[in-house]
Amino acid sequence: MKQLGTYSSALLMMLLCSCGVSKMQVDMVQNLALKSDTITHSPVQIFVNMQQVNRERGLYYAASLSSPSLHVNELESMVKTDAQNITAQNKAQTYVLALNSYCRALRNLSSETRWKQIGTELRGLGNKTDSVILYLNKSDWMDKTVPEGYARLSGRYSGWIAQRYMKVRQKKALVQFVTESDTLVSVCTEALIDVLKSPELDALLANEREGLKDNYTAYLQYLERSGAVNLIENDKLFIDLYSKSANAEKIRTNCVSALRYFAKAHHNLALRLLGDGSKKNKRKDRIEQLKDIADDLATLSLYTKQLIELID
Amino acid sequence: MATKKIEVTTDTLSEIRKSIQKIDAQRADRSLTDEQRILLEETAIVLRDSERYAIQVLTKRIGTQLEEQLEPIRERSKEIRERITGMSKVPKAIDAIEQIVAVVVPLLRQISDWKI
Repeated sequence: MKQLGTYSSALLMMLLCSCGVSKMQVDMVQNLALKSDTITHSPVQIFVNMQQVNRERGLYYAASLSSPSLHVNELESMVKTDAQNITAQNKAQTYVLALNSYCRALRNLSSETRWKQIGTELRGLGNKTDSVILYLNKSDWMDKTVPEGYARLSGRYSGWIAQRYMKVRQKKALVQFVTESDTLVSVCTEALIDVLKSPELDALLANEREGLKDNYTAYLQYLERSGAVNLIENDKLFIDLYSKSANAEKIRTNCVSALRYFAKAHHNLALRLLGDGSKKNKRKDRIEQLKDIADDLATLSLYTKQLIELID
Repeated sequence: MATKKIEVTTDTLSEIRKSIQKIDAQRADRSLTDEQRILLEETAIVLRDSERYAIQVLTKRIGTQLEEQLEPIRERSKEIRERITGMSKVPKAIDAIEQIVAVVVPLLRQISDWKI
């Protein structure tokens, strides 16, 4: 009984000294993602819009040419360029995929499977070993009977210890990765924002906006020279295209905001995991940890009671 | 029509646009002869090809710049996944042992039933 007391005290000390990731911290990890699931936040959409405007204004310009052969040459060149631009457009999505892949890896790391799995396996092994002992005792192969119930209880105890250990290991890994990656995420998102706000993209957006006006003007001048009447549909299309080019600029702004928000959320997560958050959050995390400890104490006392019953 | 490769900067597109605007302003003149008009249109097409080339170069440049920032993040994701694999090794090994024991239990049950 003295040994049992020593054993239980050691477990209690381990219980009080080690804490896993709180539920709120896990929720923060699970919710961490780069917003890109709508058209208004998709970087590819910036280039898709620009390409659509480019194509349509190209048609206006081709129609303004009086030479049929030049008209056809212009259309042919447009088709060749379209195919080349699609490859470049798809690259715009890669940063979204990379950052969300990182978030998925963190979600996987913070999942309760990481610590529950080993407990389940050890308890299962304990139960099955007890079943083996039961049937061995029923057979005549052994002179002495092996005590039953201990393997099952050992499985439960070792499962509990292993789960506690894995929770601590999980938290350590999560804290390490998130805090080490925080600077990396901050630098990476700032660099991506610089690219999205670069003079190159400014030049492309301005070119489509101004080029649309110029090409439509050239088309209208051609209609005027040839005495044809402009159709209202052309004006409607022009308005749609102009809105599209304006939208491309809005989407760029949204993508920049999404990156900033992501970097901030990651930083807040890092602070929370380090226990550097606001007093309110620290209090919530502490309360959760105490609940965790209370649950574990209940489990430990149940197992200890079963052990005492077995010994008696 | 072959396009002479030009060095593309952020000002290239606006310069090409201004050139196209000048050509289009001349094209609007009703007094042009057919030959003059076609000559202007041919010049305009060359400029349009240059514009398309510049757009392609700048788009590709942006795509490459976006990609370059991602390698450290990809490395970090890989490290996390490797850690997860490491954490799953022991439970998987215990699961394998459990499977073996699970095969032994019904066998022993059968044997003990025969004995009875």
